[in-house]
Amino acid sequence: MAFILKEVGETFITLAKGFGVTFRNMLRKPVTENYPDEPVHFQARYRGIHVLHRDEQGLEKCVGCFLCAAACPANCIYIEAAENTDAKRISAGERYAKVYNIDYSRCIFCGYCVEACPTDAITHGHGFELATYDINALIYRKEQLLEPWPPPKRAPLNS
Amino acid sequence: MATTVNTITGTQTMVLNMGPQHPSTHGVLRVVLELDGETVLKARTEIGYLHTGIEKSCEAKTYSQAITLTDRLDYLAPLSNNLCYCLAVEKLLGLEVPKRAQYIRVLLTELTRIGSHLVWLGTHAIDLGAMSVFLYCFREREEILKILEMVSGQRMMTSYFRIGGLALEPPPGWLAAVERFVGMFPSRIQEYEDLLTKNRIWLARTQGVGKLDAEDAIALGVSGPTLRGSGVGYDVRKFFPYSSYDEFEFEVPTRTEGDCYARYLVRLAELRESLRIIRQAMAKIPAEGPIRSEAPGIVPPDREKMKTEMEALIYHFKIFTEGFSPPPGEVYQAIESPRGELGFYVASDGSPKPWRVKVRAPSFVNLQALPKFVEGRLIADVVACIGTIDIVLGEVDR
Repeated sequence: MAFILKEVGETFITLAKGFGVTFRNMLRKPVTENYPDEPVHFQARYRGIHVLHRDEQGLEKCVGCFLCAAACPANCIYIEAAENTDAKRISAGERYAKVYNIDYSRCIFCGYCVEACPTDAITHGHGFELATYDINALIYRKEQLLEPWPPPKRAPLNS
Repeated sequence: MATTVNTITGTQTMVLNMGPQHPSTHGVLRVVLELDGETVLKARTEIGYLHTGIEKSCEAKTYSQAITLTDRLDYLAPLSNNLCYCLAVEKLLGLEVPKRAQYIRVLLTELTRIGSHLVWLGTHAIDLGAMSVFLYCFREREEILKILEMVSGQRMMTSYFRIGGLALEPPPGWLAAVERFVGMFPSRIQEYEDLLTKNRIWLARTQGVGKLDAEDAIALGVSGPTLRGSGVGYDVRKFFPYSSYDEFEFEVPTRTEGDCYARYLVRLAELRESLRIIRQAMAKIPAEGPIRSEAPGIVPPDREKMKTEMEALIYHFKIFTEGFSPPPGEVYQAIESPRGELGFYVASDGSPKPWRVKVRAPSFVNLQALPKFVEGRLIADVVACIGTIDIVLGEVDR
């Protein structure tokens, strides 16, 4: 009899303890991200959709050296380089990237391209909404990746 | 389902497929159970549904590119895989990593261990019917993922370690984030304990279930908490220290009961030990110092150097276009991953790509113990037993 009473008592104590924990947690602030109603909170280093940068004059930083394409473990970067001429200057270097495609159906967002780039032309942005019904739309062209020029007066609302 | 009549006893047995879609098989594991009523007579595990050919893919990548593949083996502890692979290649090259990088590596892998154990505890508990533990565990894991995102840029596929050190200098303020986590977490472990350790349902579902004695455990090659729950105190961190683990003070928690409950207690104790290691590492990490070893032609030079010095720029180009060629030879490097002894066997033929990369995946080996756990027990115990091994199918199938 005493044994059973002890057992019942212990069960009640552990139950009370457990419910105490759930009750405490009821009073804590929720940690849920309210995406898509609110923007997602990324850390500064988050590796999202790439951004191709420009220098202060608005010239493209990419000099078409193919180092990002060579470093990429997923082979998702396709580049065609062309020579700059005095009449038509795209980048500060000798060459520029005439075609710069990133295939986001292959990209694994590892950051090797950013590490490899000798001119800091490519970095990861914070964009991530890549979902699409058309897989061909996942091949982003240079125009989609480039920083806009002249830079917009104020940042767009969703960035 | 198939029914066969046992010719000796005249009773009927049934073959039942559990998985690969069953939620409690933690991915795509299929267990073929031969049942007599609800009792399991025989269990056979069918694996390979998540075969991705990572080992083979490594042969087509340069040594540093292959790091990104290792993330995807045990996707709950990507940094452990990164670390093991990097250590293996560093051994092949005879490369010494700066102390600062070693301590940061230790800190981050211990954080991953906590994160991985939290997923294990959450899913194991939800399998056995304790919903709230699952939610609480994932909430705390989120904090770890935030730290990983802060440091490396990605929550899960971190690829943060590089051959010869780290990819990037950790951002300012990261140690404060770790500090916050370390301050908050002990009370959370206590909450899990309050919910489970003495809970009668939890005890009934785990105590005496999935028994494995030390002799069988060793014979099956089981490692990690699954082995330590059977009373064998084997931990690679203690026996074959790597990445300066010999400078840290920690216990190897073991239990002798060898059942699911013992393994649960071992893992909970490991959470506390990991916290202890993290605290020591925080004190040890020097504020400044190199994060990559000096090895021209193997480890990329600092960005500042690369932009100012011609020689560094040439090395930078060479490393990213061709990679580097270790001397021909083969190495095996093991570490203690959250699941057990994770080993990378890397063979080089002197070219910039590994000739062979073989992974000794702890989940794969530990899964062998499943028939031992479940034979003679009820179907409901199979769920508990799969949970207690803590398998990650990405690693089992590779």
